[in-house]
Amino acid sequence: MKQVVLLNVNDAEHELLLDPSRTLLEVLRESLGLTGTKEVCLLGSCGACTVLVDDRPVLACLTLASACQGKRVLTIEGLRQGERLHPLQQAFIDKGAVQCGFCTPGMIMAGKALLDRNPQPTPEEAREAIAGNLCRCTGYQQIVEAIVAAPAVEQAARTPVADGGQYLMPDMAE
Amino acid sequence: MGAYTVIGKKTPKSDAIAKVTGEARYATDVYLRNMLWARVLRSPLAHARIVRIDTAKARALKGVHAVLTAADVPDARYGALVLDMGIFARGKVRYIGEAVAAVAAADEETAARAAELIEVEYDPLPAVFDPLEALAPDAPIVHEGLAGYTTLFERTARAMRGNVNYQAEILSGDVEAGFAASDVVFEDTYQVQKQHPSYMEPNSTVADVDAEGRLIIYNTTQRPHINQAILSSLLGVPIAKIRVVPCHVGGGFGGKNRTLTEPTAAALALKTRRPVRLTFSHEEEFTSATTRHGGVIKLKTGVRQDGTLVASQVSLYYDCGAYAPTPNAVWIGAISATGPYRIPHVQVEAFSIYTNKMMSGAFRGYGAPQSTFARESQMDRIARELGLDPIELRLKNCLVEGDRLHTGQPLHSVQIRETLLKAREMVGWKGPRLGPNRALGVACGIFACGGFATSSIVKMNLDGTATVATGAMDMGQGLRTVMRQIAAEVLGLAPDDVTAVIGDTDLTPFDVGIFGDRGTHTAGQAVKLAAEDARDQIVASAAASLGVAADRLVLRDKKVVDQTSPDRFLYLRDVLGGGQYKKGGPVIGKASINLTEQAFDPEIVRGAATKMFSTYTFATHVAEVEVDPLTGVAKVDKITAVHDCGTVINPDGLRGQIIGGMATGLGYALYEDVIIENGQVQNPSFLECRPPTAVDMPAIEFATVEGFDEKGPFGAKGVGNVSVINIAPAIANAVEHAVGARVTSLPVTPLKVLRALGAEGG
Amino acid sequence: MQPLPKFEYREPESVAEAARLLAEFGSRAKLIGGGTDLVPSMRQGLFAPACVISLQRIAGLRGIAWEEGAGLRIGALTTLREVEASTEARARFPFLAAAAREVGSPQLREMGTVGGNLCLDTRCRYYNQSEDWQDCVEACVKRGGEFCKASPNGRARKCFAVFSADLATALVAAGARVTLQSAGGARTIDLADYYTGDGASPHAAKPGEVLTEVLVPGRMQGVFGTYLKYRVRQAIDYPIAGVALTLRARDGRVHDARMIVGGVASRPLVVKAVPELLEGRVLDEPLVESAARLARKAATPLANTAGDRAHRRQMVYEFARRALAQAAAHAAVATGEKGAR
Repeated sequence: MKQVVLLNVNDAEHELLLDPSRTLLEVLRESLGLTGTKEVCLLGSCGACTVLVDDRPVLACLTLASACQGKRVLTIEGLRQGERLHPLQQAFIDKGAVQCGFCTPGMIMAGKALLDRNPQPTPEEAREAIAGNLCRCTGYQQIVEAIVAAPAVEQAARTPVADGGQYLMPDMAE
Repeated sequence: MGAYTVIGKKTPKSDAIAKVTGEARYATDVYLRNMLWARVLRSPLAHARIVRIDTAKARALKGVHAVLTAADVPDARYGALVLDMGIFARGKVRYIGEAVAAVAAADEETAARAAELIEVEYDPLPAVFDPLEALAPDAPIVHEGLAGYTTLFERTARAMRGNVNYQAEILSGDVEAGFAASDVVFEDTYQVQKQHPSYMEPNSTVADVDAEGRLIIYNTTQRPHINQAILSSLLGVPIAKIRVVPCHVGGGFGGKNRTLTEPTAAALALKTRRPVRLTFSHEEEFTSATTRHGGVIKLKTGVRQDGTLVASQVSLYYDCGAYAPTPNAVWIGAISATGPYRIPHVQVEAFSIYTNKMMSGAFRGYGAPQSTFARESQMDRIARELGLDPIELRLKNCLVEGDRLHTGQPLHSVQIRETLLKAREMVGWKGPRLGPNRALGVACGIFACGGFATSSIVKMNLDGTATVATGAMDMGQGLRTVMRQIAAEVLGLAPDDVTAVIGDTDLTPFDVGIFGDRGTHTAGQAVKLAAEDARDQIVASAAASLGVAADRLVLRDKKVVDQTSPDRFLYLRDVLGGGQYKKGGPVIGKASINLTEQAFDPEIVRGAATKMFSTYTFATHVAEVEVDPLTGVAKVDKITAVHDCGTVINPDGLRGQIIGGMATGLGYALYEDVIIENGQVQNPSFLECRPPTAVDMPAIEFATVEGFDEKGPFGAKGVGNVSVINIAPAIANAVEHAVGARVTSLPVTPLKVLRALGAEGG
Repeated sequence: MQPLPKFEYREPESVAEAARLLAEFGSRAKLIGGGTDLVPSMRQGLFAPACVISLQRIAGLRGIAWEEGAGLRIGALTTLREVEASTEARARFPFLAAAAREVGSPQLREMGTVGGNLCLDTRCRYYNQSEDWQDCVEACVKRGGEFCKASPNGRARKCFAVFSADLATALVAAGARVTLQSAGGARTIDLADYYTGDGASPHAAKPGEVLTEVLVPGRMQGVFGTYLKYRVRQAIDYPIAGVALTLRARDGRVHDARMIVGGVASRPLVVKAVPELLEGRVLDEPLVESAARLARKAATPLANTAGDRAHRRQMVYEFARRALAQAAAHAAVATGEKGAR
């Protein structure tokens, strides 16, 4: 009873032969190798598998992959533009918002959904936006700070890392 | 204490980029070719004899590659102090959720179906669920063969009897004389619940057997080297033939200072010669992993009218569950049980007790949150009944530099008084009451920090950069970055010039595991010593080249510089890169240390107690709480934390540890409780166990007091545990000051608050 | 991860087609909206439908519209987030937007639909457990066993699982009506009548019927309304008790009060005695107290969700009292305004 499903994930089109009981989370992780989206509770009560479907933050563990045909799925892997991190990713690093990192992809996707709708959120709005994302490491404070700070990161010029001079391999025969 | 270039400076975590991009590989992200999926069949009964296991139908199922029971693996057990647990239940099951058999199959569905096809016939036995009932002479015995089990130390064996797998006693002074000399004696009993560590990432292992027949383990752990040793002893494979490759750890908090999925996956991989993956389901995390110990704490404390503590008698009864992966949590509880206070006459007895429930193990705070809740709750009761200010009472009694702990251990780096004074100033303390239904609650904490064996290697690279290897694990707390900072400071490098290789047992030297605030303090000290060893070799080589005395040379800015004449220097790359081919050989620094202190005075400490921790960390927390007297709901509006953690190495990391610890403490205080009825966990999920969300968190302020620990690197101590332990009593104390409701068991639920108020419906 | 049980998946493009599929598969079919209730239930083995019928491609099932003379129409596929954010809902029935916001978490509201909220399955700590968990105990009545384990002495043969949808409770208080469409046509009933009170089979939809729309009657515009939720954490959690209250304040007196309690019974519990007590009276403090006591009396929760039974009853009382106190303040203001004019 497998069906062909066309999925657009991170701007790439995938044609997949799927059993309809497959969730988006299973397909992302196991069919497409996009393991950045995390599997934790499978009951919709932790937020670790948050991805954006047509710009809306949804839980991939409760979403049937077949239902995503014709929609745009964005995962954590789709945020980075080449070497350039998304401002929210950079803000998470700068603010010390990353500890074990297991909630981080879901947190960033929930944060991005907020910033897309509300580019200058207050700390309270940021807190509300991640209320469905559990984190046991951070106590959430630095994550909230990172979401609030992200818009400013975008404007700040990235300072290049100073070149410390190149090491030259000495001549072996010397 | 000098001016540092790297220590104490903002240093982003090097693994953060991989984590924000989703590229960090965790154990659950390991998918190998030809990988099989494992599924464990678990006991549906709390206590029963296994009469018969028939795996024939499961083996016959298409896609099944192996089915294992206790009969198929060596009859070996493992544990921390007493070796009580095998890979599978052998002869009988002791809790609901215990592993009875395991299957490896081509896919998860087949593995699950095969597990269902295994027939097990049980003969139910009477079970015991309450730790105090388990002490009764006629209680069902969880481990009849306990006396015959191997123990790590002889004193462990001597202290075991019945359902008690660990007993320790502290006797200092004369507690009866102390009570006689007291003006008032307070007696209270406190109860604490089981709390799940609630790391986000489930336990998971992929075990593989390589072409040489070596066992390769990809897992999530706080103790790769101990995993390796346990696998060796359980499976009869030499340690050199086992490689544990820990992946990024998605949270541990003590819950992954454990060996759970590794032996099963390894046994199946050895049997099938294929990679096998075993990942716990969310439910298995709540039935078959470990929680914080629940239990009962009895305190009897004698006090003079002026608030001077004179004597204290403490009994700790910790519910260990069916096996004892960390019975010494109760020893940590015993250390924290007198609080950071001078009490001349102390008697503490501590028991770790088997019951037919899921196991209790290490979890952030490691035995101390339980006894600290009791001690600090009673301190507030003493203050109230003697008409004293809660902070004054604590200041009057707190330990100071040079004091001895009740175990007889001399203390150094003791700043509890400073944390109290600072906290008092930060909250503008004028007494606990702030207004109707609103109050402040204060609590202090002491936690054992550092010790045990570790080692490190610092390899200097030809270009002057360094690679640090340590067996100590980063579970997200940021140890990897702290190690880079420590080595960089010693070697005159920037943190980015240092790479830290952690955990992999083929690439790193031994560490006993990250627990008890020993990461930065003890493993960090090994890295510092190894870096200093490397530095000394570099300096010696440069001194010869420059023709100056070694003691004039320092390392800074990737150079070896003559302090007396700063334009006389050599680039590190010239010392190392050139030197490699000429004389002396490559520079490798190493250190191997054990910071555990000498054994206790046997007159003071008796029973199974382990050796002394290296030092102690201290903290004062103040919670501002508003209680709704009509619902009983306690709302924590703010927590102020002041920590004595010695020198701060990474400020962002420290802040994250402290706030994260508060969140765990808040959950312990108000929400979380693994409810077990007739041995079965009733709420096996985040949905029902309720770790706090972002919108449950209070406002937070924190500060550190200046301190310097002589044993830790650059004077640093730990902070991961002490940030948790006194949150619950601070909140419970605030609740009492706000509305007059004293709740003596955790969590402080609205129901208990209403009952304490004598309100209708409560 | 352990896969869901296998099923056929259909995405009909019309209600008629959905109804036809429902008729074809009978009780072996399940409708899916956002999936936030059905998918975890399937994962726990509560359902293994032969066919899962998604309503997401049916045009016209999603949206909120005000229709003069009729009221506020909310399509069944409208998400809770859309209700929460809807300017129409917020302007005309702010307590409904607020009740939608009380559900779960941002992601659950983004996915969860109004229809799904109304059709939420009843919950119980003996029922909402995995198959592995169930293997350790005797099955409860909702899982095919003989007795309700949450009932006193565990001897009742009826299921008492709890209905815990926040928005649905508020919508019942708003006098909402729902449209049920089948191959044979459509019918509209009071939402209150959509609930049977039987935990094992809580909804009154006939085989083949699809709940397509909820209508909040226009006449309810301007009534006072509130929904107060008691839970442990401020997000994710289901209500331990939820109290919805609507009434009309005229000349300081109460008319047409409705009090509905969620989270304590197998249906949104209509506290009938409250309107009887309040009708035409001035809502003063003693009356607030009496009415709140009636709510407590009506609520007889069993040991089937988090929280102690007596405490849950007390919370019903306390939240009813608060809702009534809000209403009294509203009535006083309404009277004051009138007096000032």
